[in-house]
Formats: sequence, C-alpha cells, structure tokens
Amino acid sequence: MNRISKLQLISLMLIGDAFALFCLRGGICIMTAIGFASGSIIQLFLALPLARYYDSGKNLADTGKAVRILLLGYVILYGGTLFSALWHTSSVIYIPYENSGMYGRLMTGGLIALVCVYVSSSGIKALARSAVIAMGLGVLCVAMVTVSAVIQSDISNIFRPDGRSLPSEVIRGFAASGGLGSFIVLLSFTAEDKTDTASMYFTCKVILSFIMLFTSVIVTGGIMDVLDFPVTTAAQLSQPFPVQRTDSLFLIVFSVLAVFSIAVQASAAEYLAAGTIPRLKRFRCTEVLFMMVAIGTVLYDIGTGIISYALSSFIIMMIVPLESLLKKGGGEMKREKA
Amino acid sequence: MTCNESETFPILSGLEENIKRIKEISGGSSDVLINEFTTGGISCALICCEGMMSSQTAAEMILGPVTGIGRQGSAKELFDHIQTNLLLSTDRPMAHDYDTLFRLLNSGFAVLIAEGMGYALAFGVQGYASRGIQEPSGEGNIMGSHEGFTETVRTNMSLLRRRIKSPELVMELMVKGEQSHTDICLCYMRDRVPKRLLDRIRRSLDDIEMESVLSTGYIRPFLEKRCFEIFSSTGVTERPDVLCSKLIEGRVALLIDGVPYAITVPRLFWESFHTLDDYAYKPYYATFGRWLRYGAFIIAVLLPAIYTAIVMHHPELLNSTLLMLLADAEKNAPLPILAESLIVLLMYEMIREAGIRLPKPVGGAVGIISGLIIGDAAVKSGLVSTPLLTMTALAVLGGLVVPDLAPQVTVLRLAFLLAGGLMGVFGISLLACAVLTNVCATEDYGFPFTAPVSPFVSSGTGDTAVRLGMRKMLRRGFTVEAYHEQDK
Repeated sequence: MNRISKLQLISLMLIGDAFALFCLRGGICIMTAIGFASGSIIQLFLALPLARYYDSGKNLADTGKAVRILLLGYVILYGGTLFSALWHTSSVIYIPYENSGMYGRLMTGGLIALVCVYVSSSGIKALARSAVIAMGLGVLCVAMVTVSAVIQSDISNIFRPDGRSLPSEVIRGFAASGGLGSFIVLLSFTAEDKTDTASMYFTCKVILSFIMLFTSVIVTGGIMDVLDFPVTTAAQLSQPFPVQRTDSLFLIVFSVLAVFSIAVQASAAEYLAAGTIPRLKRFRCTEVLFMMVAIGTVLYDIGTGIISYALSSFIIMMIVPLESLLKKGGGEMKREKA
Repeated sequence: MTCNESETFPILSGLEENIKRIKEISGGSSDVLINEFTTGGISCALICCEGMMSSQTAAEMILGPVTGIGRQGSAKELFDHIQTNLLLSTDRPMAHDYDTLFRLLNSGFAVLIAEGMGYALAFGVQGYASRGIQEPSGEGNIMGSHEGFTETVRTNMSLLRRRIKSPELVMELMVKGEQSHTDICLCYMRDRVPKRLLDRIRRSLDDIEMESVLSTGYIRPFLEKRCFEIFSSTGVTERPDVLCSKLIEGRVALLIDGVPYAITVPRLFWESFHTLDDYAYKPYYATFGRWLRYGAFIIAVLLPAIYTAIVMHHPELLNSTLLMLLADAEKNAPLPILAESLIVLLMYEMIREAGIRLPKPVGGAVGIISGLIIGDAAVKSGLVSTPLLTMTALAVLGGLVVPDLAPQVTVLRLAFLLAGGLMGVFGISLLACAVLTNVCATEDYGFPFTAPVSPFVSSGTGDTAVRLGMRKMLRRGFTVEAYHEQDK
C-alpha cells in the first residue's frame, strides 16, 4: 500500500486550505481570523475519533459501502466547488484568454484538469512528494507577502467595526474546509500515528489561517467594502518592490495551489471510486475530474449557501466514527438477543 | 547444425577436426590465427586473434616455454605439465566449449588445443591498442584527480582498486550481448551496499537480452522503470574518484568494456549539482558554489520562458525604465517574440550540434565564428532583439554550469518557452506542476529521486542544501540506504 508521511499529508492538506483562503469571497475582519482558527480547533476535536479509529488498526475499507459512496460524492462535489472558486477568483487575476467568456473559462479549467489528470495518475506518493515542495514554495511566498504587508499595512484595520460575529465566522470557516473529505481518505494512508498527525495538521491549519487572514485584514481592511476576494487582493497589494507590480507572480502560487488542491481531491475520489464502483476500471481519474469540471460549471452560476457547505463538512467528519459506533452498538444488541 | 548450436558444442578431441570447426565457426576470418606445432611429441595448435593480443608476450611467455617441453606420454600429461609446472600467465581459464573458446579468443587470450584433448587452455596475453588514461572531458575539476575512465574495463577496474584497497570492494565480471559478448563489471562495497538493491540490480541485469552493448544507453533503460521519466534515475560518471565516493555511500556501479563511463545506481536529482571540488574547498565556498549551480539550472530552464511570458502577457511586472528599454528593442523586431525566442534557441542548438559532430579543431572554430557572426548579424539586421539574445545567452550559459542535466535542460527550456509564450506565467506554472510531479514520481529500487528534500531525510540535507565540514560529514556515517522508502 502506498504510504505517505506526516509532513506529506500536512502539505497536501494545507495546500488545499491555502487555496480555499485565496478563493474566499466577501469581507473579512479580525473576527474572521479568530473564527477560522477556532473552527480549525473544533475540526481537530471532530477529527480525533476518526484518528483513533484508524489508530485501532482499521481503515477506510472497513467502513460500509454507503459511507464510502457518501464520501466519494462529497469529495467530487468539493472538487467541483474548487473549479467554480478558481473561475470566480481568476476574474481578479490575469490569466491569458480567461476573459473570453465561457470558452476561456473552460479552457482554463480544462488545462488545469489536464495537468491534474497527470498529477493524480502519477500516484499518491508522487503527489505527496511534490506537494511538500509546492508547500515549501507556498510558505516562502506567504512569508514574503507577510513581510511586504508590514510596509503596506495599517494596524488600525484590526479594530475596524464589521458586524461579523464569531459563530458566523466559525461556520464560514467550516464552509471553506471542504478538504476534510480528502483528509479522511488520506489520513488512512499515513504511516505514522494518526492522532499525532491529525493534531499536527490542524495546529498548522490554525496558524496558516490566522496568519493569512490577519495579514489580509491589516492590508485590505480600509477597502474591504469594495473587495470580492480580500486574501487574493492582499497578496497582490503586498508588493515587496515599490516601483513595479509583482502581482502577476502571485499567479504562479495561485496556479500551483489550484493544481495540487484539485489533484488531491481527484486522487481521493479515484481511491474511493476504486473501492466502491469496481466497474470503473480504467480512466477513473479522468472520469472523476470530468465530473468535477461539470459540477464546477453548474456551481459557477448557481452557487450554494455557506450553511449547507459548513453542515456537510461537519457531517463528513463525524460519519466514519458514527458508523463505527452504530456497528458496535448493533453488534452488542445482536449478542444480547443471542 | 546452426551457428549457435555449433558454438555451444563441446570441444572435440581430434586436432584436425577442432581446427576445421574453428575455421567454420569463424567463417575463415583473417584475424583468427592458428599456429600448428608439435611439442612433447603431441600435435598442438595455438590460436589467437590478431590485434587483440601482444605477439611479443605470446612468443616470449607461451610459445617459448611450451615448445621447450620434453617428451610427454599423452596430451593429458602435456596439459597437466603446463598447468602445474609452468606459470605462463596469471589468468589461465579453460574452455570446454566453442562459445567459451571464442569469447576468450576475442578477449585477447591465446588458446592452446592439442590432439586427443576435449578442452583448451587459455592464457591471458591481452595486448590490444587502447587509449591511455586521460583527463575526463566532461567532468572538469580543479583540485581533484585528473584521471578519467578509459575504454578498457580492466584498466577501469584497476583505477577503482587503486583508490579503494579494501577487500570489501567487490568487482564481479559478467558477459552481456549475444553478439558483442561485452564484459560488464558490477562493482559495490560489500559492507555498504543495501542487499535488496544489489539483488534487484542483478535481477535487472539477468533480464537483459540484447545483441550488443555499445554504450551506457544500452544498459540504463533496463535498470530504470518503464514509465516515462524526464530525468534518468541512473547516473553516469567518467571519474574514478567520483565513482569511489558513490561506492562508499553504498551505491552500485557498472563498468562496461569499451565505454569510458560508469553507471551508478541509484542516482538522486541533487547529485547532478555536486562536484568533487565541493569537497576540496571550504564548506562556505562549496555551499555557495552549489547554490550557484541550483540558480543556474533554474535560469537555464526558465529564463527565456519567463522573459517571453513577461513581454507578451505580463508587462506590468517590469519597472517603467526596463519596460521602455524592452519596448524600444522589440518594436523593430519583425517576428512575434515567441517565434523570435524559438528561432534563437534552435539556432544555438544547431551551432552546438555542429560543434560536437565536426572534427574538434573545426568544431570549436565553427561554434565561435557562427555564434559571433550569426548573432551579430541577426541583431544588426533587426531580426532578433538584443535583450532576447542576452536572455538566451544567459540561459545557455546556465545550462553549461550543470552539464549532467544538459539534455533535460534543452528540452525543458523549449517546452517552458512554448508554455510561457502561449499562456504566460499561468502556462509556466501548469507545466512546472507536471514536471515537478514527474520528477517526484521518479523512483527506482525504492530510492526516491528527489530525496532527501522530498521525502525529507534530515541526515541527507548536510550534503544537499549546504556542504557540512568534513568532520561532521564523516561522523554521519551516511549510506544511501537512508533514502530507501519502500516498506516504511
């Protein structure tokens, strides 16, 4: 079985989280940073039963087919959401031919999907190894943006009233955590202690979310009302050089994060599809990516509510331990009857 | 009887029959010399291959002593006498079939057959003309040894033995190639090499079925995975000192007769940026040199692509002075910048290829003159802009810093140029993701190509990102086994 290390899992997941933050829409304030960080801590507590379940020697194959199908559906849906988010966000980033309407959008998505097919089909080990290097690049860029942001920032933006409450931002944080589906799959691949790995991942997620959102708030707080994508704009505004615009270079980070985020979903979906739909023998990766692009196209126009996203993230984290609990309960009842 | 059947046929006891068969198998080839004579009252023949042996050594060391043997009772007694009482050469194998006989003959052995004997005696009297030990042409070094491998496998083996006198260094000879019967030497340090690696390489070598082995490229594909890999997971070196350092780290090497390069397994991506001089200078300078090479590689692959992408799609990345400068330079160029870049790069590749293929004295001159004349004429005529030519020259120069990766750099540079020209930085990023995944997927015998960076192996970073001091390096007691990932 392909095994990945703790560092590799964390990199795979954090890439997805960073991309989700870059695609975050709507205004943000300091409460958003706190809310997202708190949401990640709650997610850690929700992930602990799952990690213990894996640590007890069980894996995803021991769960019921219905659970795995549900997970598969969730991962594909989130993959579609990522495509939709990519198209929305690319409106503030210059991608050649992107602005040529639907065809431009499809071409961008198609190219990313094509690269994702290759990346995912190279195997989880290759994906995990490359994710570590991509994450290294991402961390370097975040560090550069943060340092540059210090020059551009206005610390008074922290205290700017925004009317956002902590619970609403926690829910928003849950809604932006669709990668939890792939986390459930990939955690079973890790060679090390799962509880330790999960704790480490969510701790990193708390730090990453807080730094990115906090930096965005202090940079873009003054113009938040007119911004659609505050984190992306903050990255673009945090110029390390005073006389030239380096925001196009942000496109490198954005594209790399997009490819790996989607490839992670595709790999997870491919693994789940292999176990649940045995008839799908060939081109599984291409098929799941095709479904993601199709779902993304639909979601691009209609969108879905934050509550439904948050709720599905919450349920998906509970589903495996709950099923295990129900099985155990059922088994005990049978024994009592016997 | 087919030719192959006759070659594996056991040697006959009749001298005349034997000679007839040898002539038959060799097809009357004029370089097979058969000298019939009688010694000790027994009719014999000394067979050798002209040009493969030293006639003087054969006359002095074999013909002289053998023809002086006194009368013997039988051919068996004669062979026993030669084997036990005469030390005619240090290498004295026996041949029981024609296949072995011809292999020895074609390897420079003198073969003795006698009336009534069902086997032949062979004496190592090799003396073929070969190139002497010279300075390596492709792996230049300042402080290291100036000896490079030659085409003779036994000379190369001696170059290794001179540097590692330990009995732990094992060199196993084997023969590959149905027609060429090429000697291949498998080298490893018995106490350092991972056993699984050695077993798997042996299995890979066993699977090789080919007619001839004429270069490292004939063997390397059999040691690598079948799927598409941009970078090769086996390395080559023409320096015996470099090979010794790799053997001491637990790697396996293959020397091929007729090829002045050794194959090393496994090879890691970062090794391409190491030179032996890194270990001769102070660590801070070695680290600087290494990062210079990393930077040069990135420039070699990406600079023309990024330049084209910026000028075509992202001019806002340039400051106003630079933008005006480039706009001024490019406005007179008749071709789109992507076409211009492609033409300049392909032109350089053609000049380089001509420089390699032409005779050396002409090749060098052609390279310099065509580069200067064509480059100058292209700029003066306005066909190519000066900034573009500068970028291309810088990229080419960067590629020369890491000669080990030259083929990959050449192709990747063109691929990135197309991606950057068509889709800007977005295209470059997408291609970079695909290339990164391909590099990370490269893995043979359980050794990931990108180790120790990804997967991260802390014990390996002391000789990757930086170069630790020699005392610290030696304290690590590092072997390549630390990078083995399977079954973890």
